[in-house]
Amino acid sequence: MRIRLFPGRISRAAEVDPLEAWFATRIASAYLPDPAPVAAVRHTVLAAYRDAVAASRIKAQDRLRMGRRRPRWVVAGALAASLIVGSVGFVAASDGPGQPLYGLRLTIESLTLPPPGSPDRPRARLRLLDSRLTEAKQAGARGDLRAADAALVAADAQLADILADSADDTVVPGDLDQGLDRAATVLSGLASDLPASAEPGVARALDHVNRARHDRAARRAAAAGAPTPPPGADPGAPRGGKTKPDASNPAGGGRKAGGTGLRASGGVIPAPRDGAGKARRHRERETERVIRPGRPSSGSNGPAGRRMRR
Amino acid sequence: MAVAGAMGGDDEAFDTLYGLFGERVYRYALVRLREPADAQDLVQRVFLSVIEALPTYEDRGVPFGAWLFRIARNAVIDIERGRRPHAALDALAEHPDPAPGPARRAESQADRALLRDALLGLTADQRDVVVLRFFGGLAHAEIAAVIGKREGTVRALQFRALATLRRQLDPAVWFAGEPDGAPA
Repeated sequence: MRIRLFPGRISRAAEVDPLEAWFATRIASAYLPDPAPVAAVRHTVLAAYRDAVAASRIKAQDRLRMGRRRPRWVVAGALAASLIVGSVGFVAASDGPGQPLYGLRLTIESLTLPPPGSPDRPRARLRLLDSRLTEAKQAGARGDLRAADAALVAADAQLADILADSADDTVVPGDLDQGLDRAATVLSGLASDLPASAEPGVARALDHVNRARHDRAARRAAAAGAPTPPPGADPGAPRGGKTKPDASNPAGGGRKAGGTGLRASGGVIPAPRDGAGKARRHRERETERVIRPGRPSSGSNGPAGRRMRR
Repeated sequence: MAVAGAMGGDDEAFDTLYGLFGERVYRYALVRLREPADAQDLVQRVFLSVIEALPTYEDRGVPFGAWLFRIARNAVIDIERGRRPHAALDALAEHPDPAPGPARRAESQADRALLRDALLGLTADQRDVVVLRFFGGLAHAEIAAVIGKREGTVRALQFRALATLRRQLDPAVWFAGEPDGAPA
């Protein structure tokens, strides 16, 4: 009988190795699996391996072509920024003239224009000019002078851009002329509808429109070999020869430069409704009131009132 | 070398790996599963998984054999979950012997039946160690990595398992070696 000095310990040489050897022999004698199934699978596995290698090479090439993957935080940041910009843009899109985000809305609109050089760009600008004038008209109708003024300033800026774009004749001339005529019509209507305090803005925009119409008329005349019309002349009037003064239109024919004398696409704009004329008449009335003795102005804080006190 | 070659897309290196491990995986699967066809399918499944996972293999102290057999063991466990307990080991006795000859076949079939019964008498851990060691051909360290135990524990499990098996399979030898009949 063998005595174990350390009952908890197993002697490898005396106990483990003989047992392993016995079991290995036992299995070898009792169990010999057929290797044929392993050989049968070999081709399938190798074919799969070749396919995988080919696919991974293609994937590696694609990865090289596409460049390094962007880190997640960059993607998340870009997404958040686009969400913020989109939300602000959405809010700005509903802001009308005079409201805080109206400027942003105009910027977004200008960013959505067709690219420079495209024939659609000036047409899109003309549509934006129409929108600005409509906004001014609506603001005037509800008595919101601040909004009307903001829309007129925007219209003026849009007009300047249109003229800059049309310098290289990318605009179909008929389109531009019609757009300018339409603008003149609307502005003339505004001049009569809006109170006197809004007149400078209207007058400024109208002046720009008229100058643009005159420039285009001059260009047309130069192209046709005819003399350039004077600055006050109606650029919409028929070219060449003398024109008969229109009885129904005091501004027609030889009208002075003081009135607008604008011819819209559908006819002549009546001169008495001219905003500049209205302002002038207002100023004349004020002057009369000042110089007439014994009839002081009720609000005597202005220069006229001071003169009266003296 | 073969592993590095296979990771680099070398056909021959991968074929070498298959030659080294294919049959061992098959034997292991055959003991654990019911049918040779199932064992064959498992070999294919294991090597397809290896192909898929090979680009992510890193030798962090786990030998490649252990890594591969971990895949095989998980696949076997997945299959065994859907079966009745110990059904797989029945195949050990039913599996036909490739070596012909009625006398040899009868002898080895009887031996396999004894072996099956003896293996069923082991604990699950002991059986796992014995099958991986003697059918999968893994070293103790590799078995430890496969089943997630320490190497010493694996050795102890194997020793107890073999002692039990010997007591059941060859009681005459056992009692001849240990006259007092006290197992270790």
